[in-house]
Amino acid sequence: MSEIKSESISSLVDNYSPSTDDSVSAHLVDNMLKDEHLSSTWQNYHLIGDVLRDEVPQSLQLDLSKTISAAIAQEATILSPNSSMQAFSQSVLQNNDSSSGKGITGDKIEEEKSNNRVIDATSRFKAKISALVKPMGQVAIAASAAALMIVGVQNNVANNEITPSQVVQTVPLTGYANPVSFSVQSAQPEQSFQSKQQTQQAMNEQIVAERVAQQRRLQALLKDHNQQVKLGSNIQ
Amino acid sequence: MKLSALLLLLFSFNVSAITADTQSAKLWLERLSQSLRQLNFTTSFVVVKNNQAEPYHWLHGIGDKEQELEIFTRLNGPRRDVLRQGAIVSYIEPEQEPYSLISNDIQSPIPAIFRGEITKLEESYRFISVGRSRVLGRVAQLVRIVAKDKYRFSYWLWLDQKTGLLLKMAVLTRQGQLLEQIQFTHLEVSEQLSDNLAQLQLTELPNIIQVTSQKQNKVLSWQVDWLPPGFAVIKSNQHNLNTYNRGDDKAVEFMLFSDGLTEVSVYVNPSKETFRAAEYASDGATMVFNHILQGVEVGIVGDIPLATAIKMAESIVPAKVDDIKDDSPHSVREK
Repeated sequence: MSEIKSESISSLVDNYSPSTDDSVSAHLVDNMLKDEHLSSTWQNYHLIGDVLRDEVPQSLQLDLSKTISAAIAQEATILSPNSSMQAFSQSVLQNNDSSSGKGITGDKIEEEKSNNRVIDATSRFKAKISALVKPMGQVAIAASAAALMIVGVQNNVANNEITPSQVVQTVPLTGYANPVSFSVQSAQPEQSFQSKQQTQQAMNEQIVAERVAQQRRLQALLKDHNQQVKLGSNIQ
Repeated sequence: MKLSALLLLLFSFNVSAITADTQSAKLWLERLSQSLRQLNFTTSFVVVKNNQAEPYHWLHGIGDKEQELEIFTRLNGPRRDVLRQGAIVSYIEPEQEPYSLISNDIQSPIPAIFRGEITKLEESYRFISVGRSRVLGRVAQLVRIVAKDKYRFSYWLWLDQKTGLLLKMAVLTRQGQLLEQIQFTHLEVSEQLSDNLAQLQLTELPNIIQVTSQKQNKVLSWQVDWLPPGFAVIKSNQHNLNTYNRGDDKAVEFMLFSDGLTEVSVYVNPSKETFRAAEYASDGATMVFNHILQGVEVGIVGDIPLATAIKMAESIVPAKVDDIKDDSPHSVREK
């Protein structure tokens, strides 16, 4: 009996129904589910098949079903996680952070706790969704940016006779790549407040002086450049 | 299949369109140059840069004996005029006594090359005719002078369809950032010479100064090893960097480079300090750069991107004394 059953299980594993009658194989599956020995046979056959087909994963976990069922048992119950619940739970979370006394009226700590578990689950759920949605979103953004560019370019072609619309705004003459070097800083940590202030003032004066000198240098260069351009070429 | 056919069609259309655009752009620019030399016109324009607007008045005309007459006047602040009778150009400025020069160029906000042979620019720039719009109440043709490389700026010109004269100009970076604009606010073309120019014709211009009084073309002890393609030396000398009576004049070795459209000055002098970090400022499209490296102070000024200036500054090396027959076009030394 058992031999026959094992044989039919084997053919089931290989995707062949032992009988043309569906009810027979359904019966077999029912039996298998009830009989622990048979289900382990089913499992073993699958493992054998995997090994033969060279599909064994690197870390072989022989009984996945047990860990899964254990995990399911530990998992919190997910109450329908809708948006209002999320908003609410976020506020609860914040309230928990500051003080539970400020919680929403009528809420008991236990309730909050259970809510937190729900949040936990929902946020995990959300994280998975967002991890999935994010790349898609990026693709969508890139696509829409490309579309915008195309539209923009077309618009540009139509409008560009008018002007680049923004008014000139570049670095003003006082804006520099390197405003001041702060390497002169030599304030001692044990200085009194007053002397610190004095050094600060001295430093500020130094900075201002440096800026003025810088501006003068650059102005002189600019003026001389204009002058030299006026004088024109002396190379024939 | 359909798509690729469409793309192919678009591409071929574009290629033919570009060549056609370049041709018509060139014609437009030649017409501009001709109009700027031959028409009697009175215009006003505003230079917009650094968030400020500087108004100018510009008159041009043909006087007796086919002599070109021209006036540029800055309208705000201290008087800054440029007068021209043929080849004599006079500058009236607040900093110094008025003087005249024998020169073909006028230093004004309008690049001098626009009056000259504009096709010389083809080495470094592409000309593209883009489209029409309305500027100064007139039908204007937009022509772009686009830099072929990243070392210089691009120029957009809006030209009057009727006269070919300039109506608007913009200087842009390669990324399309607007640096400086010139907007004309008034344009009048007439058969007759305007009164102001008729007066200028009779005026005696200030004395012509001899540029040769400068120490010219001395062998410099420095040379610039890298220049953006298309730039060539048009002047080199040694002079004092005038800081206008602040008493800290200093002698600099100076070189002036040009790519036809824009000029770049390079100043080199030994310094007491051994190092000063790079500093720069921009005045519209004009960039002023300065640093001291290993006791050598380098200043670079011109309408170029900062990256170009830095690259030039870093390429400055002591002139090689032994190879006098250095024919490299970038060599600064003149014989």
